[in-house]
Order: sequence, then structure tokens, then C-alpha cells
Amino acid sequence: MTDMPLRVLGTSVTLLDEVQELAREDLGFPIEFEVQSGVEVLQKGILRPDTYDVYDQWYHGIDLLWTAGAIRSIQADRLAFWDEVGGLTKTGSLVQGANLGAGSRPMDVQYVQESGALGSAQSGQLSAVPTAHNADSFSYDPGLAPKSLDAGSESWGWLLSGAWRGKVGMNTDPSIGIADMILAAQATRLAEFEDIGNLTIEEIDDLVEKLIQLKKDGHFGGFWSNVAESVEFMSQRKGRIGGIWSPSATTLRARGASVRIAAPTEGFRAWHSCLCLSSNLSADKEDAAYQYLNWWLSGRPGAVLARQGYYSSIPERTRPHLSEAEWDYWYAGKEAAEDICDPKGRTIIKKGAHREGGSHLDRMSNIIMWNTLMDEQNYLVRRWNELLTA
Amino acid sequence: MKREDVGATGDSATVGSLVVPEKGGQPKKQLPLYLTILSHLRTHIANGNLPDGVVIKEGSLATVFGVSRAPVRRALHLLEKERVLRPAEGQGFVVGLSAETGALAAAELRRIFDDETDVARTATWESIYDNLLLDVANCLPFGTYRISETKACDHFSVGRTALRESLGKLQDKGFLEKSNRSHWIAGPLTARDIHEAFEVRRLLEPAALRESARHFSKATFRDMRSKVTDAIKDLSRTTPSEVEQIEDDLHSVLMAKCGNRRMLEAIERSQFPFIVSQIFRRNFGLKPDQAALEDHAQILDQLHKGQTDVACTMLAAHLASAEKTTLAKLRVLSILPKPETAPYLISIH
Repeated sequence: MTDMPLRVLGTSVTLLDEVQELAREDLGFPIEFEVQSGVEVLQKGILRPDTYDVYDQWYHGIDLLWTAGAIRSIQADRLAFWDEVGGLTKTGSLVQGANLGAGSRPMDVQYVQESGALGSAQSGQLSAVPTAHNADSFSYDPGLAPKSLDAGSESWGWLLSGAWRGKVGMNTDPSIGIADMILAAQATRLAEFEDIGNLTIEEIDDLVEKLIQLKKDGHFGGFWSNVAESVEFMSQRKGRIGGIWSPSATTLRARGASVRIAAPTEGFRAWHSCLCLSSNLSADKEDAAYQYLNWWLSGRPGAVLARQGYYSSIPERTRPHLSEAEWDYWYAGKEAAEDICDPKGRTIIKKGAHREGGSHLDRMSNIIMWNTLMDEQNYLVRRWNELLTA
Repeated sequence: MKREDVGATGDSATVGSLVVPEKGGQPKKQLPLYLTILSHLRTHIANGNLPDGVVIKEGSLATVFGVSRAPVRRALHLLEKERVLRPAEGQGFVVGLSAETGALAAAELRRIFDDETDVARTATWESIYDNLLLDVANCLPFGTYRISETKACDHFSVGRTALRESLGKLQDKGFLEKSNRSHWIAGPLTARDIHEAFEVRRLLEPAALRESARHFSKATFRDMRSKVTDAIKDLSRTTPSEVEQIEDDLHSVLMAKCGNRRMLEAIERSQFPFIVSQIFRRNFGLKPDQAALEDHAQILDQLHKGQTDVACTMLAAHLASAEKTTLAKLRVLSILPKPETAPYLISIH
């Protein structure tokens, strides 16, 4: 072991202040957290593996980090609770037979194969340790939704519906914002796709050009790249809609705003967070790094994240750290037996409410698509940037 | 996958040398003008177009070849040393030992050297080719670019003819296209381009190897194999140019004797995805891909044993995994911002 701090690079999605405090409290060594936006973390993760020891982001970026040699394999036998980790990253779903969803599935990159590539055939060498995950959609104030829309059947198509013209916010991340738009375009039949998880050049061109036209026509009210910007966007004017993330919805709710996170009839857009080890991790920090990985599976940080709506990869280890009411509301999909608080202790859910989309199992078995990096990602990003600057 | 050695390509089946006639990033060695002229003179003396006794002069040869006098002078002096020429009584040199029969008129010289009068032009397009390729290749994954001929001529200080010749070569090798408005267009390099190129290679390279391999001796396979053995033995010390040499052996040298020119051209035109690996290597380093080198070793072993069919099957499999690696690398390039480009490359998208 060394006195040098363990350096963790990640986003605000998982590296909340409360999580950082807890880690320092639970682990007996210094930790240095660097929190950046999603795109920045990915770029730094790939280009500067010398600047971090542990990388905390998403499964859909692992393919890039691995190809660039920025991360190294993790030994499953050094993870105390690996056997308890749920099926999403191991077999693709929490229960057999559930819809696996299109796009970059975590299971497809979980294990290091004999060839040195990543794949789904189980082995003792892992690309990443699964941490938080969730089924995302879009949020809005139900009291201000256009009357012309059927509140009983929420659809991704709402994001491109003329009824929301000028009020739609878009995430600029080219793996996530694009997924929202693909699902919306498919639902409204604005565009057609053979495989929503892997667009062709023509499909990308068609979608981007139509979105540029919509942008010029004033359909989009704003663009955001992080939680703070999305909160700002939703608060600036009433009656806005957008694929904001759980921490944004949590913040808005804590401020007293009425926010409904939709449960679209088409299914959710899923994502899964994970931890990786830098290829530059030095031998004297290895033990600390594994302790940190194990700590994430222990249940304590999972409970903090549960309070902003995230699930952990070993729910049963998180359960003892939640109250019964919290567990019932967040994981079991039951009615809130009391007011439910966010990680900062602010009330965000009123007694009697139900989580949109039901239980952990219900929601994670209703995935239409994962956050995705496509074969034509490089082309997509270039065209996506045109949309953002149009 | 430890990334510590900024070194050789991790890609397995990209051929630098077929497309970029250079090794290890050094500028291509172009045949000096005087040697080209020397070779032309020698040919026409040997075949009797320049018969014994005829007088040839520095000035008129320079005019015919479209070059300065210096390289002509150097070529003439070398031939004099070889006793192929001797100084004439007046100006110039006499061919052979026979008595002087008089100087050749410029028109006569032009007729003799009809095919070689583009010495200078050829040299110009060759001299800019490598830099042109580098500029174009570097921008390919990052969008669509139009090449301004005017700016390119200024940039390289060459005439339009030489520039177009060089651009034409790039077009032949799959790096450029001409739009329906006759603009030269580069990029964007897409996953589909890479998939299609590898599909062509998977179909044609085994066929070319099957035809070509029998023309090589066991010693050749053994020599090539020992290069691979050395590379695998100490991966961290293997250089990019050593890997390129290994790639070149299999994907170029061993195919070259297949006898089907069209097939070889099609293969060559499909080897452009190597630029993804080059850009990748420049940005991310990485040790050579051991699995890919082991593929090479096994293919060469089978060729050595005379098991050409097995080798060809393995080559197809090797190209399939190279495609996956190259596509993965292209996805990684999506995080890089648009690079600075040469002034003659106009970004369209």
C-alpha cells in the first residue's frame, strides 16, 4: 500500500458528495475524486489513463476504453460478492425471457475472452464491476402537459410531438441524446430504422437532417450536457419536457416542482454504470483499488444512489441500508408508506405515491434500448455535432 | 492491454506498404532524376535507338526530358566512366567507339525518348504523393472534405497536371472520389467502408495467395516466419515498422505473384482502412496485437508445410478479426475532435 491517494475519475451520476463522504469514512485510505461531464470523462478516460486509478462510468463506453488499452482486466476472484451480482451484466436480464433491449448491452462486454477481446462468454477476467443502473425516459410536469395528449399512454413520440413545440430539451451526449431521438422518431414514424441500436449511414443522415429542420423550426427549447444544465432548462420556463436524468428530477422534486418521470409504452432506455481499473494502475495501489471495487458491491453506496432512483447490482446487499418504506417504494414498486427523501434528506416523494413503471424487475425487464455506441459512432458524432451547431 | 509502449500497430491485417510506399514513417525514397535519365539513356543505347557514333548533348537532352542540365550532366558523366560514352570532339558525347556521325536533332531525340519525356512531371507527382496522402488520410475519419486544386498547387508549389496525377493515384487506391461536379472529395471514412473493404479482402486475398504462394520457396516462408517469431518474443520492443514489414510480407509480397492484375488492384484498393490504425497508433500507442501476429505465424507455418488451402482459410479468418479490431478503433476515433487540416482541404461536413 502507498500513502498516495486512490484517484477516481467519474461523473456526478454516481460520485455524489454523499457517496464520496461515505467512501472516505468506510475505507481507511485517501481517495481523490475527479468529477466531470460524461463526454469529458470518456475522453479523459481514453486519452489519459495515467491520470486516474479507477474509472467510473458506463458500460457503453467500455468498448472504447478497452480498444484504446486504457483499462485492464479485473479478477473476479478478488471481488467478494461477484457471485451475488445480478443477471443484467451476466446474462442480459434480471429474469430469463425478459426483453434484452437493442444497442450496447452490458453483457456483451462484461468478460475478457481468451482472444483478448471482450464478450459475453463467462470467464474469471472482467472488463468492469457493475454498480448502478436504471431505466430512463423523459420527465414533465403532468399538470402542464398538453391536453391533446393521452396521459394514460406516455410515448417517446411526445419528444417530437408538435404539442410540445418549443418546450423540448435535448441531451447533447451522442450516445444518450441520440437514443432519445431515435425512440421518439420511431414512435412518431418520423423515421424508420432497421435496428435502433445500430443505425446505418442513411438512417443517421435522414434522422439528423429531420432533427436539424425541427431545430430550425423552433421545436427544441434547449440543449443540456449535465445535470445542472438540465435542471436549469426545466426550471427556466414552465411546462417543459426532456430526457432529464434521475438526479435532475430529484433536484427539481426537492425544490417542490411537480415532476413525472414517464413510463413510455414502448419501454425504457436503460444504462448501467461500472468501475474499471486504469491500465496504468500501479502495483502499490492495487489493493486499495480492489477494496474500493468491493466497497461498491457492499451495499452502502447502493443505498445512497437508491435515494435518487438508481438500482444497485446486488439489491439484497443494499436492502439492509434502506428503510422498509424506501425499499418498497424504490425497488418493490409499492405505494410509499411515508414521505421519501433524497440523499440529502429532502422530501421528494409524497406518501401514497408509486414509482412510475413499477418495481425494479418490472422496469428493468421493459427495456427497449440501452445507451449505445454504434458501429457508425464516428460518423454519427460528426453529424450529431452538426445538429448541435445548426 | 497495458498501454505503456507507444509502439507498433495493434491491427493485424492492414498493409502500409501497398498504399504508402514507405516504412516506419520515413519519407519515401524517390529515384533521383539523374538515375532515371541514366536508365533511359542506357536502354536506348542498348537497343540501338542511339547507335554507335551518334553525338548527344546535355542541353538538348535537358530540353527533351524537361529538366535542368545538372541531372543530365551527371548521367552522361557516369556513362562516360562506364565507357559507354566518350567526349565528342566539340560539344557533347559520342556513343560507343565508332567514329562520330554527328549530333541528333532535338526532334529526333524527342521521337526516341517519346515515352520518357515526362521524367520531370513523374518526379513532381511522386514527390508530393506521400504528403498528400498523409494530409488526406488524417482527415478521412473526421468528416467530408473537398480538395481545392488551386490551394493545393500553391501549398505544394506544383502545377495542376502533377497535382492531378497525384490525386488520381489516391483515387485509384480508394482514398478519394470525384463528385458529380468533378470536385475531389475525401471522406468520410465510415464503418461501412471498412466492412466493405474487408469483405473484398476476405474474398480476394485467399484466392490471390492460393495462386501466388506456389511461386515462393520454403526459405522465403521460413525467413518471414522468423521475423514474426522475433516480434512475438519481445512484443514491447517490436517497432511499428517491423509490424508493417510483417503485414507487408503476407498481404502484399506473398500475393504479388498471383498473375491476376485486376485482382491485385482490387485488393490494393481495399487496403485503405490501415489509416484508422495509423491515426489510432498516433493517438493511443499500444503494443502490437499478439493474437494477430500469432495468426501470421500459423499461416506462414502452413505455407511452409505446403498446406496452402489451410493457410488460405486461416487468412480469411485473420481478416475477419482484423475487421472487428479496425471497426472498434474507428469507434474510438469518435471521441477525437476534428484535427487541423492542410489549407487545401475544405471541410464540407
